Amino acid sequence: MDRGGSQKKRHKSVANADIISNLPDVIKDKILCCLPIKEAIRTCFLSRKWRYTWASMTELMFREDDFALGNGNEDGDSVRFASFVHTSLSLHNGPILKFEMNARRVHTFSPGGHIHRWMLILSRNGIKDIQIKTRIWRNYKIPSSFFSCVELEYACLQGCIFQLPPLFTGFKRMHTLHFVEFCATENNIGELVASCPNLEELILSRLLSFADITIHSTKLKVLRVDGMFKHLNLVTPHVSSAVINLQVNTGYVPRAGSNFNLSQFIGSLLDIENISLLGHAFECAAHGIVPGKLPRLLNQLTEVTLELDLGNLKEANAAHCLFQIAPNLRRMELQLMHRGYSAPTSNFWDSVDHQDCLFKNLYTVVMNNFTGSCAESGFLELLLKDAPVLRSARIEDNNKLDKESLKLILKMRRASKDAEIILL
Amino acid sequence: MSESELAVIKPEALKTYIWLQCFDGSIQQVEEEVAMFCPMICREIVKNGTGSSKNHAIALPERVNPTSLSLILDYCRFHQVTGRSNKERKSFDEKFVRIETERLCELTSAADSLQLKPLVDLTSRALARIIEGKTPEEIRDIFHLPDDLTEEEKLEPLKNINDDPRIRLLNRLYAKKRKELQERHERQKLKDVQVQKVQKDERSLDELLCFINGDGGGRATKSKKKNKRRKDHAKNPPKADSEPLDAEGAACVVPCKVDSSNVSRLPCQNPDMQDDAEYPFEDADLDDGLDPAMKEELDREVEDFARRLNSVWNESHIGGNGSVQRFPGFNHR
Repeated sequence: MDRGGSQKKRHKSVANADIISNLPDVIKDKILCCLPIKEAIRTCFLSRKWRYTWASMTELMFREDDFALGNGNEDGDSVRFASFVHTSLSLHNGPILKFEMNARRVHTFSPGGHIHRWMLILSRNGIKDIQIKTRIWRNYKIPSSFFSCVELEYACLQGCIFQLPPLFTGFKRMHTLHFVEFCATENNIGELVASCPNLEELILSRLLSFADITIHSTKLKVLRVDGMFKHLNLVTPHVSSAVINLQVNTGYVPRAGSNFNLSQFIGSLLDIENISLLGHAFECAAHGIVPGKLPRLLNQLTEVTLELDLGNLKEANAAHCLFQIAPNLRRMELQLMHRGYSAPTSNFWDSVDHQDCLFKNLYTVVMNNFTGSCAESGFLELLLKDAPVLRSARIEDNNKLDKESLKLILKMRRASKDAEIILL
Repeated sequence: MSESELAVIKPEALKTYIWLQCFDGSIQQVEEEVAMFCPMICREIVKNGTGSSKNHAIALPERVNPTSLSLILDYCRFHQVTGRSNKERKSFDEKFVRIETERLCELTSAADSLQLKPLVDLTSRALARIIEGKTPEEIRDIFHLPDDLTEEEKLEPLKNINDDPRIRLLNRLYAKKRKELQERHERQKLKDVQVQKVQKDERSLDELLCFINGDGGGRATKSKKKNKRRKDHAKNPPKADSEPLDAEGAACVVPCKVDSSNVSRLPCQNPDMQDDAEYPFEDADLDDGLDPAMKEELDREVEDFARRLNSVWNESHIGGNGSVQRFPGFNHR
């Protein structure tokens, strides 16, 4: 307690040696970085040695929720939060390697105000990791000082827009770019990627794009794109894991070759190990796949996840091509759709030549939304006959199938003795 | 008996042991695979070839005391086994750090000097958990930290980040003390005949005006009320806060207002911050929700503290223009 106790304390503290202040700076930094930011800064009151220890913290994480007073005055909270962040950054002294900001909105701060000041301070302190999360789209424009953060290795930005400055020299150290709720009206993402020569991971979550996006990167290993986009052109030959999820507005019928030139994409892949084409991605892409035209085998491809309509001739054809060039496929997951608007084909899968042995290494199959239609049953039959090392086939039908159909499935001939069909 | 002894000896003979020597001279032997888990020891063995016998024991860094060493070896012994599940490891780690805080600090230091990064991370997180949620006094108590910040430094308004009622109390306390200081300072200057006669007149004028306005001398209870009122003014504030440069033309109310705002805000704040009036770098919360007993204690402490500070002030250099609103001692940033 405070009342008159401070003098007593002084005597007591002389007797017992301080056990923590002599730890190496690196460790004190680690300890402070594990604390919530307010408590970390509060350590300045502990003693002489701790007065400015917080000011050399290398990781700063600010969450607006922690500052909410809960009295409903959200703007007041925002202002307080902004001023706290600003003062902390101003008093901070030393490199800042990681900065994370989690705020409801960033745009309420005066334009050219807070976020610009913060970014300027960060750019002068060797920042390596920036994460800004807000909850509103097109919330703020990334300040130009962001592009002067030459040491930047990881950036996760939510709800922003940006424009590359004219003399941008690129982020030489950047290895991961993650944009959430990004709205693109031009190919600025493509330009940014092109100026990050060592980029290994690109994630675009909830992308909304009105422009044609071209992603060209030789070192990219992981690619995730989901959202609504007009046209996506991918030249990423060494990608090992790709997830593309194309959403469209309801009622929209994708035109041939409009969104995603899959055959070109697949044709360029050398090292792909797993690929997921969800939403309407496969459907759009299927327009571009011509049997026999895909140039090379994808020997490393072991996992495929597709959202497709087996009854649609184009899609079925495309799927067939894909399986033909993936001899080492081990795991397949299919989300079955029924688009309904295209001419159904009932005999495609039955007419596939069984000598091809499409699935010689297939180990696991998962099929969701199985309805027992001709096409689907045909495909399943083909699969079971053609998969000599199949271990498990999980079929989820959402209780749509009747007992007869289920029995038929179980009776299908299986090439693999260990194959286990699990019906859910 | 001898057979079982033999049986025991045989498998052990197949294991290689490494010899480690602590700074205090004590030597310990440990199984090789356990010791190799520590990067620093591993390097010593591989590069310098030490540790294979008692005479060539690996000299451990100074920060590794025998207790910490045995704890570290326990850690290594558990984790170097490959078959364990993540859950097992996590639960071991949780139990492992449940030791006395002092041991934990020594362990952190030792692990760092042996470059055993996973253990350093584990112990640092444990220390952070200990610190989290505690008041500065509690933390000082646990870690035996000296309460050695000078009163001057403490007089900077605390960042009342958590709205801690104790900090609010402290801020009130310090604001009062500052006021005390200011008054003594003025009285001191009035006595000082040589310096700035002209300003002296102004000062006395201002002082009188303030006194008329109810700005009492060392009377704690009165000044508290005044503080409250003044702080009310201080709340309205940012406008009143511009530097009060000419004291002469100022209306009688203004100097006091500004005066009080300066009391409650440190000069080290730049005008920029004053837009964010209430938070977090000053305490604008006024409600004196104290019961009378606490008030008494407060008064006593204020007197006590003021007396102590008075001696400090008498020695320190009093310069500058001596205007009422400036506190030379506080003008450092």
